[in-house]
Amino acid sequence: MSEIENMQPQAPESAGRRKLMLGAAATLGTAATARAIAPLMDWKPTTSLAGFLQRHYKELTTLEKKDICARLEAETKQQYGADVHIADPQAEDGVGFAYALNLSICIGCRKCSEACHQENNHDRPSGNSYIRVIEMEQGSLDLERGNTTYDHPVPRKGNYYLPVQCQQCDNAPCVKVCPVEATWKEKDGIVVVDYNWCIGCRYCEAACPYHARRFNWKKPEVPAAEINPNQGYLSNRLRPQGVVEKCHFCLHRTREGRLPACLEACPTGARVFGNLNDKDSEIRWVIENKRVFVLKEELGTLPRFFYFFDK
Amino acid sequence: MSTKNSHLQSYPRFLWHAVRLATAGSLGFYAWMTVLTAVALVGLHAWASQTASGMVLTHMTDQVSWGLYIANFTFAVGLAAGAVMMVIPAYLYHDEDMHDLTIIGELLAVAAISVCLMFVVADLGRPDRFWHMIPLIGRFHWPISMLTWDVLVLNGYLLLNLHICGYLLYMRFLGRRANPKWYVPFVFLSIGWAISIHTVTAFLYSGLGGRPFWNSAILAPRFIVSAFVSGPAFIVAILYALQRFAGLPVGNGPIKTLTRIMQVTLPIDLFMVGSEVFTEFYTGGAHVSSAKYLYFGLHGKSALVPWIWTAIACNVVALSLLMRGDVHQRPRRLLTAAGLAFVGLWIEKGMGLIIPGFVPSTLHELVEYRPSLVEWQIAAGVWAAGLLILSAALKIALPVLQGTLAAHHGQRHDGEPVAE
Amino acid sequence: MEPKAKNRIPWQQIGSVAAVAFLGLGMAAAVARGATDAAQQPVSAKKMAERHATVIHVKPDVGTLDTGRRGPQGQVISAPCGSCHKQHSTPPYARKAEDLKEFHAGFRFKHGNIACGACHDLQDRDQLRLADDRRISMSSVIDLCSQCHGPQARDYAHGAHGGMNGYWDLRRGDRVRNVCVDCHNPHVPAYPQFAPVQRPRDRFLEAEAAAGGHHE
Repeated sequence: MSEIENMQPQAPESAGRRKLMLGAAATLGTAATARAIAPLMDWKPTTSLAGFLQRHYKELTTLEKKDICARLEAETKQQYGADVHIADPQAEDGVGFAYALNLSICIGCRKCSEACHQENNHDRPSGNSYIRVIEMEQGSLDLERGNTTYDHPVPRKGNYYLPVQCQQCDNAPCVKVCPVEATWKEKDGIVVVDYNWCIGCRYCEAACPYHARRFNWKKPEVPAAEINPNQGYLSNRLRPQGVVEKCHFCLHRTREGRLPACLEACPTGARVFGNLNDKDSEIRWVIENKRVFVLKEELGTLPRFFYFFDK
Repeated sequence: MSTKNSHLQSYPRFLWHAVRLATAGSLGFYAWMTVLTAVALVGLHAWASQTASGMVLTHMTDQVSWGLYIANFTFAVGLAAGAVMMVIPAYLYHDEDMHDLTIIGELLAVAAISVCLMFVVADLGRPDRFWHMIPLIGRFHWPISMLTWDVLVLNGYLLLNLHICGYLLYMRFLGRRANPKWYVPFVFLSIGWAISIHTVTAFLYSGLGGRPFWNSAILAPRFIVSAFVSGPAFIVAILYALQRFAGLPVGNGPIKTLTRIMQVTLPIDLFMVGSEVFTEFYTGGAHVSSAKYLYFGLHGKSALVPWIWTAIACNVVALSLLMRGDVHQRPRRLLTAAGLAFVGLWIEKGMGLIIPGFVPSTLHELVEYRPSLVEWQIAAGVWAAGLLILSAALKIALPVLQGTLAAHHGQRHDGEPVAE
Repeated sequence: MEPKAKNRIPWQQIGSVAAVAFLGLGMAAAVARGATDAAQQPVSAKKMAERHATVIHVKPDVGTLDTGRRGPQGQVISAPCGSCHKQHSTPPYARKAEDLKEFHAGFRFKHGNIACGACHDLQDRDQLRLADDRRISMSSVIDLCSQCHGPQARDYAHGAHGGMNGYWDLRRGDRVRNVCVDCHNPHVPAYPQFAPVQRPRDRFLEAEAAAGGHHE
């Protein structure tokens, strides 16, 4: 035996007392620990083992996705009291979405932001939306001199308005940094998030140069009557607490050929959306004929969201 | 005696012995461990609440999406890397005095990495999905995502140091001589690995083009240099604590070596900070907004200004105390300097680095961040847990240290008696 | 045809049944596969030729004037121009808006320096007049606006001006477009001001000072 084992800590009678003290301490410690983690007893992140073990979206078969959507619809019914339909529209071959915004006619009314809030089942109390409109100073592109909390009649003389949402970058920093590939770029250009795979580390939120990503700091609260029942697995279904989300070009609408909600809400028609690969599309005409630019071009993110002025 | 069978029997005995060592001590030791446990449990409860109710219990927002947890994580990685500062002189420069104390640095590394991992888990929105990050089982986005590199190097560093310390302590328990081939290569590996953990952590931030405050080449060198201030500073404190509370006589040699290290690295760190400040403010433009917010306030918001100037004051005073040839012979002055440098770096590298990266936001919204009570509780709990691990580990290693030093203090390697 | 022996295996029957079954199963499989993979398949040439309509909205009260009176449900009661201008004689057209009397008193006009007769058919107030003196109906007002506002008309035609609802992919559905007068009052065409909605209510995001509130 080594010298260590031969070393006795203390005398026999104090050893008995010591054992008692340690026993009491251990019991107290265990009880205190149980008390400490009590809130976790109310925590139910997933309703089933299947939910806990669910694999990444790209590894799921069509049948598994159907089952998962059915399970999520049931969960929504149970947790929010609303009947919803969760579809899983796929990217179409030969389609590459792009968006353009006419800064000469955007009036800064934020109806696009409101439409996004409603279409995407955002948390009602916080008024969350994927779109943020910046009131800019005429003659300057300096975001430092912009203001997002304006509350006066618009458009105001001397200002123009810059709505910013996810740019669906072709070289997206968020896609690069995600440690578990919970966010990736689909072949039609949309950068999507698998809400059931995201671990909530928020590295993507740190990496995004456009403040495009949002985190669910709590479980979203939406009254059943206000829930948009036409949902997509990768888009506007009710997201769980603790995951990241972002604008997805309303893929549950656009992959069915419909216009995104923000565009439909825009009263002036400042927004242009479509398939960039189609030479006859409106977006293609804008890119080819208007003097378009992108935000923070020097970062090399290659956005698919373009801005232009008429003059 | 068949070694395999006896290991199966003796290793559990070693573990049980370690537990006994860690739970046996003076009243003061019990009081210390009880207080730490209490704080750790407060932190655990806060974390349980945060997990159940969501991170809305913190004061992080979509604009400032990382806060106290990642700030402390960043600093703690530096501490873990800096622990290797004992290993380099001992093994690369054959400093015999240091050699016997390297286990202290490695145990500090274990505790510090545990603190890092706890902070990461505390910061995750979905800790139940932890398994998604496990290579081959989940979906590991390596080598593109720097966070995956961080997962690999941090856990690897933990395993390295656990192995080295575990092996040495286990061999000592068995009364056998440690076989160099089972730990020396790992020690050398840990030297390079220590640099890598903090470089990778720096790359997490410096690779983000959308955050100009971080997107600077000097970030990684700054991290390494400041790690080599905070590590030795903390080890100096540990050595003095062991001397005071465990009666462990610490020779002049290690203290002198650690002091000399700090006397070099602290000025370099301040120079690097100064270099960043110049580059930001002289150039001006939009990219200076974060630095302006940190040092002087921006548009009337100045929550971090008192913090950063406190940090600068601490570092400057620490420097002035340190830059004397005989400071290693003046424990009070040295400890003050070490403490001030530690605090100054904790601020400058933690809150003073992470938060300004988010203020103003990428769309130049100015949202301030002050940690909530839950965040402070969790942070305190994690540090307490780290100190618990460190205290238990040092307690277990104490007999080894005492035994070695007792043998060593008979004579030095060249036969000359050691001056106390 | 050979007479069938009792104990001979009926290969023909088996073969034909098998062939039918195989074909049937194959077709069923193809249909099933096609149904699930429909989205992945490129659209056939026939489908591409079908294009849905782009419908330009017709403002229900175009060519009328708000009388100021409201119906029992609060609906606006409008009068078409001809209801006065065809029923009884009205003064010849005024040169300026200030000269308008009676029903049009207080009429606002801020559309450059053009005269009423530039756009209106002064003989038949229910029609509009193009620059080459051709007459068009009120619901075709877009042709009139396009004459002078070419850039906007060009942008409108390419979807870069004016609101729309419906489908971006006209192979799959219709689209409805706003017409010019949906947003621009032809007599005071400047786009009116709106009160903005959905102001950001982020935690800890403090509102900038209202008036003149921009950074230094």
